[in-house]
Amino acid sequence: MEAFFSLLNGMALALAWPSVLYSIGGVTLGMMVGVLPGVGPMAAIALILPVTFHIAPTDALIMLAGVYYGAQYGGSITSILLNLPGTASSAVVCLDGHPMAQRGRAGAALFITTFGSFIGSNLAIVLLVIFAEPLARVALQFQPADYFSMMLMGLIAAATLSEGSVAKGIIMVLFGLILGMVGADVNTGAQRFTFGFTDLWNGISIVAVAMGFFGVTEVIRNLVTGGERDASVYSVTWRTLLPTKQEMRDSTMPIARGSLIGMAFGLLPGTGTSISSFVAYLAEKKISRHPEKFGHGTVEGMASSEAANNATAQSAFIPTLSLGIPADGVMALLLAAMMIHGIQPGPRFLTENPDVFWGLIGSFVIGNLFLVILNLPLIGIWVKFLSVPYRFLAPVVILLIAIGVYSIQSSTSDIFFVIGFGIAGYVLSRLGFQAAPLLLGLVLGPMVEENLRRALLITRGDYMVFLERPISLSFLILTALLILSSVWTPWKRFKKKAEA
Amino acid sequence: MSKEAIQTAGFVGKDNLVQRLFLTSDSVGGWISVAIGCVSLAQGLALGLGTLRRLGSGGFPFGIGVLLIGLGALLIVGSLRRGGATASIPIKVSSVLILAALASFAVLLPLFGMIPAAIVLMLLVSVAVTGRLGLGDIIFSLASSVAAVLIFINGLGLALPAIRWPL
Repeated sequence: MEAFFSLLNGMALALAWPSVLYSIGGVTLGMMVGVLPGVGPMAAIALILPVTFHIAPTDALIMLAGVYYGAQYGGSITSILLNLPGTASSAVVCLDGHPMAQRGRAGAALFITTFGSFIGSNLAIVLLVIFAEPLARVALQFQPADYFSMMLMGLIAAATLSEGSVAKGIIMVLFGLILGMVGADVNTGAQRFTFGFTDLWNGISIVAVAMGFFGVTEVIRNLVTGGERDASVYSVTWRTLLPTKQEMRDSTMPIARGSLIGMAFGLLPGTGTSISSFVAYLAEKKISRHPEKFGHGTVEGMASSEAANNATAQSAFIPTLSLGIPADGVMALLLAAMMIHGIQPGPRFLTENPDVFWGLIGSFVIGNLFLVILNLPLIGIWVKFLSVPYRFLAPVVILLIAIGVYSIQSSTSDIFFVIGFGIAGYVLSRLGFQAAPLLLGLVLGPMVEENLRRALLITRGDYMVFLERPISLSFLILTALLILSSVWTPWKRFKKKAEA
Repeated sequence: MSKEAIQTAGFVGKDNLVQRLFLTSDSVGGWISVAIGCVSLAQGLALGLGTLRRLGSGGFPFGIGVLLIGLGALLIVGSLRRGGATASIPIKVSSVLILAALASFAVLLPLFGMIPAAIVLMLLVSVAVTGRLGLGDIIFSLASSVAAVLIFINGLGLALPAIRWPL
């Protein structure tokens, strides 16, 4: 009950004058990048991160979070109308959404995905309201050894559960850890990985890394793989928006199941929205009485996967806000934003900044309501938006990257870092390396090292402390299970099946 | 060539060995990992590992270096045994232009201010995307650079001149 009142209080905060504007601005921007193929929420958040340095921390988080969950709504529009995933997590919607559009049912498909997204998000918000505070209270008992093991699990989860090879995922995490070490060592003051460059003494800005690896890399990749977008967008009229009774009935249970799957994935650090939407789709296909119809325009898989990715996007805030462990790359950026604003993420965040926490949650409720309005009645605008040519979009994106990264420290050398990270990101992505684990390593790296050293200092170098403390041991066992399960690779089989 | 096609190719000939050792996505990635691992390891040793009880500044980089070398070797060995898709990193003039656009911005900004730097950046990116420069692109870059000044310098108070002449 107390949590409920806190939520109401948070909603009141989020409805206050500037906050509500930032929330609406964030979700609208999120919708935009969700709709546009080739610009993901990650790049968008990296782009506006420097802008948010100038506003209050609560508003900054509200806006950044809005971009993230807003993009989950927008992505399905492009999937349905163009058969191109607007975001990676809405790729599965193409399978059934586009065939529906070809049959003239695009409107109904949009309605169902929006409805599924809304339900998935709200169920996850309820979970967030109920669980975040108790979880943080438990986490207050954590000692450095427990923190170390928990973060280790987060990093390994990021590496093993992300797409692609496990070894490559772990390598990216380690690259991230190295980037996180650049600059002065907090314990001894020794300069690490600076190689005599004074520009590196203060460390590498996460914004430069994110913009290089996500912004620049994405633009280069789009230019290289190229291919003009199919210009024929299906028209959507008001009348076709309403689904039939049968379609509604068919999508109710899948939405509920998808939400549950999505919430579970959000709680797991290191997973993301793309995996949860895939798994929800496959689960639905598995239990369906007519699996052969999947991929030909049935609503079940689509409803389930959309509910799942939105539920994941919201419940991912639980580990991020109450433990300080980012669930995916976007959450890592949000954590970085908090730190820049002087808020230390972790279990103390809730007790020390209750207004920020509940204001943020309150904004989720408002943002999701607004997204439904943005999505359905304003669908015509998004259809038009899809025809913005890339020759106008790309210059704006690159200009925002340049100004944004310069504005952080008023240093042009950061722009050269972005160029370097852009090249590295492009080469690594061509070799099958995912960038998200690197970002997690970069954000968590300094904390992992700090807690490892502190734990060893307290126990006078006794490494058994990691096995003797029950909390730490549980995390280590989970980490071991993650590694074992990745050797067994059920996820890969899941994915192969989905792609087949 | 697909993974399966290489796998069914059978024996490992001399050419095949070079291919598997140096040219697949996995092996190239593995070598990069080994190289960066070596740098990290050297950095760790140079800084001092410290003791088990009190890890020195080099302890963590050393450990990460060891892991990177190990995992890189794993990728290379995996590629040797199973082969894999050939690494392809196509480089186009357009990608170089994007990087040049960013670099030009970094050089021009302190010298001439925001508007000229932004215009040059946007025109270079436009050329990268379309391969030519139209009047529309020029007007668009002009308008965007003014918008950037209004948003970032007037709106957000970024301490930068909109336009200046260094001479």
